[in-house]
Amino acid sequence: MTLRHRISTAIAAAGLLLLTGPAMAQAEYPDHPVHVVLGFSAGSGADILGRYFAHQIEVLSKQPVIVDNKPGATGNIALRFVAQAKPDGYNILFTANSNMAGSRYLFKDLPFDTLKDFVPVASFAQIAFVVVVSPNSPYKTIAELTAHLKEKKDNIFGYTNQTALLSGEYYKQLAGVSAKAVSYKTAADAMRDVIDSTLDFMVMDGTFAAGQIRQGQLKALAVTTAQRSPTLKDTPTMQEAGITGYEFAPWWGCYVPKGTPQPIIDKLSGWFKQIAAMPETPIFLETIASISQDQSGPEAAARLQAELPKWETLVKAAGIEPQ
Amino acid sequence: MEIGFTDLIQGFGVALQPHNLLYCFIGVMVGNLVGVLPGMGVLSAVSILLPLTYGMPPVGAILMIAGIFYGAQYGGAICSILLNLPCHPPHAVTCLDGFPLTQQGKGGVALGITMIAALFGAAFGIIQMIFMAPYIANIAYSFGAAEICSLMLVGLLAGATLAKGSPLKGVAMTILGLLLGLVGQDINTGIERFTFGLLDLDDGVELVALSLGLFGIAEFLRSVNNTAPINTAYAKLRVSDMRPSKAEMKQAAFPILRGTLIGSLCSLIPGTGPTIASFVAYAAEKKIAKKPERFGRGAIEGVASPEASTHSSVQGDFIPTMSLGIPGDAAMALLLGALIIHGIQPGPRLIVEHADIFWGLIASFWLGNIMLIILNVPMIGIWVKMLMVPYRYLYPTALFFICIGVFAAKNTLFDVVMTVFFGVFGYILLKLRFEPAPILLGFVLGPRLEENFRRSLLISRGDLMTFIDRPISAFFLAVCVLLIAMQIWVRFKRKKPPILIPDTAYE
Amino acid sequence: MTHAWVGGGAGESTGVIKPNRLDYYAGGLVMLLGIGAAYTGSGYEMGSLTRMGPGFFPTALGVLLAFVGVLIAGSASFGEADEVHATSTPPDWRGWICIIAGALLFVLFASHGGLLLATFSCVFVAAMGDRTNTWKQAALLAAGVTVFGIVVFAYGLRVQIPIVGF
Repeated sequence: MTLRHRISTAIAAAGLLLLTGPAMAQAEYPDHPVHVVLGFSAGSGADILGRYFAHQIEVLSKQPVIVDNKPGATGNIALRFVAQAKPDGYNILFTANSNMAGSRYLFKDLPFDTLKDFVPVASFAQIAFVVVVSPNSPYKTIAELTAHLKEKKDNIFGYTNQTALLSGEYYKQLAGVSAKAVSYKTAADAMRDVIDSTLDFMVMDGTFAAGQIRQGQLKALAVTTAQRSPTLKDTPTMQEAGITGYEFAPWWGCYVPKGTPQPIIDKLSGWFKQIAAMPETPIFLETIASISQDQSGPEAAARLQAELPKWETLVKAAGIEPQ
Repeated sequence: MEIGFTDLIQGFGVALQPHNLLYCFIGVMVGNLVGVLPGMGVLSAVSILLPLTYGMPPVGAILMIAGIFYGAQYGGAICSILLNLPCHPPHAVTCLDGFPLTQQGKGGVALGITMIAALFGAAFGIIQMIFMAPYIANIAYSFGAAEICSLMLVGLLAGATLAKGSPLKGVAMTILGLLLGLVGQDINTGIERFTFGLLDLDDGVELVALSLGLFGIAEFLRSVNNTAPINTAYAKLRVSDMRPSKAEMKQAAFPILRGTLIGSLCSLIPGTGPTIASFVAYAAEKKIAKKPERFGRGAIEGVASPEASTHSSVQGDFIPTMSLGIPGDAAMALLLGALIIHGIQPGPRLIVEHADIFWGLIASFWLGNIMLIILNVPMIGIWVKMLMVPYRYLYPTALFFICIGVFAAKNTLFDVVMTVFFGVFGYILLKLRFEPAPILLGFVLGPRLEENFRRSLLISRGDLMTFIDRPISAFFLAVCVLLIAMQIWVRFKRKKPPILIPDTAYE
Repeated sequence: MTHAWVGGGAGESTGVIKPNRLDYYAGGLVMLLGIGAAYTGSGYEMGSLTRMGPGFFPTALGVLLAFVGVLIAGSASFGEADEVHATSTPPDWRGWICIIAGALLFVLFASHGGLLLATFSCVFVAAMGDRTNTWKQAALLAAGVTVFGIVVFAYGLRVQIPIVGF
């Protein structure tokens, strides 16, 4: 092929593209495998959750969906990867609100702006955190715990990640109690200290806690979500337990890099709507103590915006210095 | 104990079903192969294969994933012994004496001993799982922050003298390892330490990158164009010639037993996986040896004990994971995830509610370990042939395996760059006659030491007496004092090192 | 602290036993690392005994490491100028550069080029570090490892690097 030939072919191709325009692009996406980027290692609770949705997208899009686990730096490695990816809908990010709203206050020099570099596509799941105490603890309700914490000095509570820490801080703030935070790498590490009441209470990820609660290893006082968790039907929400206005929990969203064509975003968010409507979705989410959610991209964006002040004050209250 | 042999027989019924047998076989095969590849640890193998099991029946899936775990341990020692490459962190310490044995033409014997140690350690771990499961809770829950902290201190003190050569240099390397372990986000405050502004260092240095850099790439840099020709005559030996002699068996018997006990103890303490178990076993063996100077120069005990320890620890690690829902390490956390995704809630009631899985798993452990022995013993002859490959072909190939293995651990190329960095650094250390092994020990123990030290003080509200008030912690601290006293004693005596601390130290 | 080391070294070198120079460097390196760690560590918050800050451990370990470094350098002068070392082989720049370049090429091509190119170039360049390997041998080895690597890692273990890609 001569150079002139090539150029003319290219022009012809471009012209064709122009003619068929957006309709064509919409019909074509996705024409090769889509990568779902997850900031968590394979097998983690977040991974299990992400893979379910990735699998359903694969069914709906009829294209292979590959889950790329890029753990590290509390998910920021994955965020950086997607922020720098081509905005063509083939690299999409599943992540929690702690990364999107919280990390603005938790980190100083992130190489991306969570609000400006990403477009929310949907919010699809909500995870409950649970306030737990020892099964031998005399406290059966949040009110009793609050009274005890007010009476005693030198209280301590356990947490495993920043969101859990801030959930605890939020409770302290609204209930007007004081307690020092003790960090644990995993909820499993903390089991012993909860059971023998070394810790006055602990904020734990529902995925891990649900099984322990059902088997009587832990006592649940409240969940941190706005609605009760189907996995822990008998556990009241913080609001119901008397902490008025309390809602603080991780929720999962799908994000694409800024500049992704709107038709692709619409297509993706349409799939999430379809997945949320599937009867097996809530059943699956229940096994990992999560709640199905069906919020559009703009709704997710508005929710992020609304959450920002809460994150900011809580990070300050927890005495966390942004890095 | 009322749950006994009928359950176990029932378990064999589950495990012997043809499809379950097949899943178990696939698991141990994949594990075994992955174990041989440098850097491709259990963690990456399971993360890669876990999604494939999502569509499988739960029993088969669990048997297969479990098979990958203990199967990988069988492969892990091969490169350590034959090539001085720690493919797999728990087996890093096996290099110290395994490779000298190879250089002396006893690589096959070392592998043979490894297999015996593996089977014994695993068998003990399984028996422990059958009989101890109901009592585990008490043991696991008696190790709080203060106890773990004191235990880590014992490990560090025992381990500082891990390598041959100057003890001062050993101490320096241990401290360096501790410091390297601090790199990354501090879990208490989230502050980034020693990350030099690199986001990729937030989670700290990757263990695989560190060990393959220090032992793998550093070794290539030293040996390229400069290999002492290894005597390969023995590579032509038959399998029967590699059988350990009676004398060697006798020499290895007690180390295997001690290693097994240390490994099973480590498995009961949450968060203390096989890597710590094997290092502690090696250090203990060296401490109690009549001639510690033999270690690092091809002592068969230096292979037997840590290998037994690794295997018993890996099998034992299943106990807290299955019966408490508390994983011993990151790899076990993956298994926990696999159980949950199949709708099985690990915890005290698992044995009752899912008897088929629990006892089927135990039965499959027996079958899987036997399969592994059958797979591996004839393979020893083939592995040893690897030594006949000239070094000039071997090191470029190994370099590639290291690169891709390190990448696969976390799917990041940054770690490969880190490996190169540690390779160069390790080479400088080698040139200055430092032994890098204690770096790994410090690196593995350090973060847990700091985390638990700080947590103990938080919980005790700043009272240092917490370490002495708690009897288990006080006991470990007493062992520490004993270790230091011994060191001073040896220094003053400077004659024959006396026979020291009894086994009870690791009771 | 650098001062103490220089002083000690100078003083001892007049002694009867010839100091072991290697250990001077070794001690010096350890000390530098220790001082570096302590200095960096002291930049983080120290905290109190109850709530120990992130700076406590690094600073303490750094100081300890620097001290051990002094001891290593110091003990060098006290004899045990053991076996004169055969480790002083001449530098082998070709080998070193090829090995390091091989690994770095893997990194480069794994992100821009794919597994095929990454594997081949890594093995080929590393193999060229050996003075006895010919071009042909290195290429043959690299081709072999590439085929094996793609079968095992791309198809078997599904490692997340495309075989050929951007």
